[in-house]
Amino acid sequence: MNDIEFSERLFANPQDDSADFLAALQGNPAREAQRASAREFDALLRRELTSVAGPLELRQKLLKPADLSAARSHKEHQAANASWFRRALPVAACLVVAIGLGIYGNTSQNTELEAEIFAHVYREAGLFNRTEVLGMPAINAKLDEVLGASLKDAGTGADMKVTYADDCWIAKQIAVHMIMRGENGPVSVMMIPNTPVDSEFNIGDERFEGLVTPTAAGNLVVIGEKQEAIAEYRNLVSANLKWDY
Amino acid sequence: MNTIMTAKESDDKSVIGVAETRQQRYEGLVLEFYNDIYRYAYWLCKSRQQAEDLTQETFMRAWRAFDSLQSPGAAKAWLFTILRRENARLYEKYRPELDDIEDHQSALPDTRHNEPDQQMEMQLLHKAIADLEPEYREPLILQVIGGFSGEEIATMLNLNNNTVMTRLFRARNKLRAVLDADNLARD
Repeated sequence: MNDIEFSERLFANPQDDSADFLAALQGNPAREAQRASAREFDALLRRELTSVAGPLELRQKLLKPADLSAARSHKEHQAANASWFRRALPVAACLVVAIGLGIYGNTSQNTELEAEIFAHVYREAGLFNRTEVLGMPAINAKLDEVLGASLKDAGTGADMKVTYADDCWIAKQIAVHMIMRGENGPVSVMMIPNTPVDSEFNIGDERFEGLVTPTAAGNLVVIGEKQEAIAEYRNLVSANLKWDY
Repeated sequence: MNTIMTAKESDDKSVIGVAETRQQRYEGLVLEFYNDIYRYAYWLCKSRQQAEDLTQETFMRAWRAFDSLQSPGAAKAWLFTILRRENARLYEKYRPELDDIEDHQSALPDTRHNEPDQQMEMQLLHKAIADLEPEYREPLILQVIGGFSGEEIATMLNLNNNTVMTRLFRARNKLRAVLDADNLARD
């Protein structure tokens, strides 16, 4: 083993105890010194990498996973039951869509949400070119995983022409983002399980227009190219989305 | 007193016994690997908050999928792999700018009783690790914190062994260069 190879092996793993490496050390004080130095540095490295420790409270929580799961489900139930929409409009389906009849929300919270939504849409613009339509099982697997929800089958898959469905991070939440083939281009449908806005409001920029609709369990966002019938997509999703709790 | 259990009572007790064992085995996993998993999460995403979220997600998934763990010996690699995937799923696509590694550094209690120069060196090293490119930082963490071999790291990262060793070599070189430059500047 020449010096270059020895150094490379040493720096890749100062704890290397393979036979050929140890043989290369034998009777070579310079290499022994090199290894000692490398190990000293590695001890420093190890010390720094392990200087962080997880919070004790989190460890205690994790020891009771069943309680943690129950707390999550309870939180989702609370979100669903707390909505005044749900109480005011009893419906067979678990999802309640409140349509604000064009009442715009101009609060700074809505503005911030709109900005985050558009930032996300443009970040994902590379996905707009997908053409293969997903089947309902794939779509519902993602909805179930992230939201505990699913879309009814009955023709919904064909109607929606979903080409993308995945979880994503919007408004500091794990949400679901679907992209559908609309008449005028891609239609993004996002379901964000955050605090519902007060009333439905329109969003838009030079290219897109959209609707943010409060629901029992978060905000339903539909964005499409100008002239796209986004309200129809909102209705299609909200009428066919069912929650598993 | 009739001490013979009915079939149902026997089944119930067996189920309870299995559930207790599962919980106990899971607890053992948490107690053994919690800190290493947190550290891996922390150095991957460089944020305390995200590290806590990732750690929680990892162990929750592990709990749900616990029956799929083939053997206790595979537990560590299994947990690290779950965390990698969770990080990719949750954060890599849309990483929020929550790098609070500087905050963490300043919050570290000075339990090392080092000389000021040594403290500065450690802080410099801490920052240098955080500033390493992810493709160098991750194999290094897996090796030093996880204790995985080059081949194990190659499998986890879907790379070949030579690439892993090269990256480990470069990672250490880069870190040493930072410390050497600092020492030179202070001399």
